[in-house]
Amino acid sequence: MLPSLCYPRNKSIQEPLTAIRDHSGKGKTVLIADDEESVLTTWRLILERAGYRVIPVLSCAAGLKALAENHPIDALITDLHMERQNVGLELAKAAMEQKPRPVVMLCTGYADVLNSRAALDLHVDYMATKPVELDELLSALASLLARRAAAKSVAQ
Amino acid sequence: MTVFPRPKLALVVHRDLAIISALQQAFSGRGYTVVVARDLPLALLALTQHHLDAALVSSHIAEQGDGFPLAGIIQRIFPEAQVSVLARSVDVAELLAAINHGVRKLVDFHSGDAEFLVGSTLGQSIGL
Repeated sequence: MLPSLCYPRNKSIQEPLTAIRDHSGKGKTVLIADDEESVLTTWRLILERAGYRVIPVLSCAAGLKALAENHPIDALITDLHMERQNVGLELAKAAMEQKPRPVVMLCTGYADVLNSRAALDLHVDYMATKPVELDELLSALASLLARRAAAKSVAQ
Repeated sequence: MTVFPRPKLALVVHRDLAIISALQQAFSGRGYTVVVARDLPLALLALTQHHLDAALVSSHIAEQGDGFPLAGIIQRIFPEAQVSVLARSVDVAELLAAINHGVRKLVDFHSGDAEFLVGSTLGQSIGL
């Protein structure tokens, strides 16, 4: 008897592929900051496959420089702890002062009441705890960018 | 022709009548006309019938956490409005729920009396 070709669905493999297929970045520029090179590379590959133009940086300082040099940035996804604890909030704050203001998303493995409160007070758009659910974050990014574009077109 | 200014309007959404009454009084004392709702359908109906300047929404209306999406919707419809979620405890999960639903203020129910909670919502006193 021939072996079955219908293998059980592998959730861990299928979900990222679904996420990439469903959320087209359509050339939007995303600045992504994380001090772990492997995380940064993974994010860059995933976001580029979803159609985003990605600027990866390994520190808050590099992120601030990239913000100043690249205009406009449509979205920032930043880790919280890089050179220092919670330094990602500084990058988020700088991004939120840009005009037009990019979508700002935080990802951290060390969410606590203090940094979450600070993020709320900054009015960041999204905060996720690591390990990040890929599909959820890509959905959030796409919907926040779409909402921003809709608000812009209404204003015009 | 004399143009009268539109009265300021606040929405209070909470299951508890005593809390609604105290918050209503605190808003009224600050010159607000208050619309109240004890469930989500009534709160949503209020959004279609009024222009809100402020809203104070319980984090737990019918079930835990359902106040966050409602407050986020209110903030999106009335971007200039002062909108807070009132939570019985402020922990990381509640803060992340607030952020991810577009809520700008989360007020701890235990942080003060109705006057303080309304003041925090309106940015007239220090929030948590």
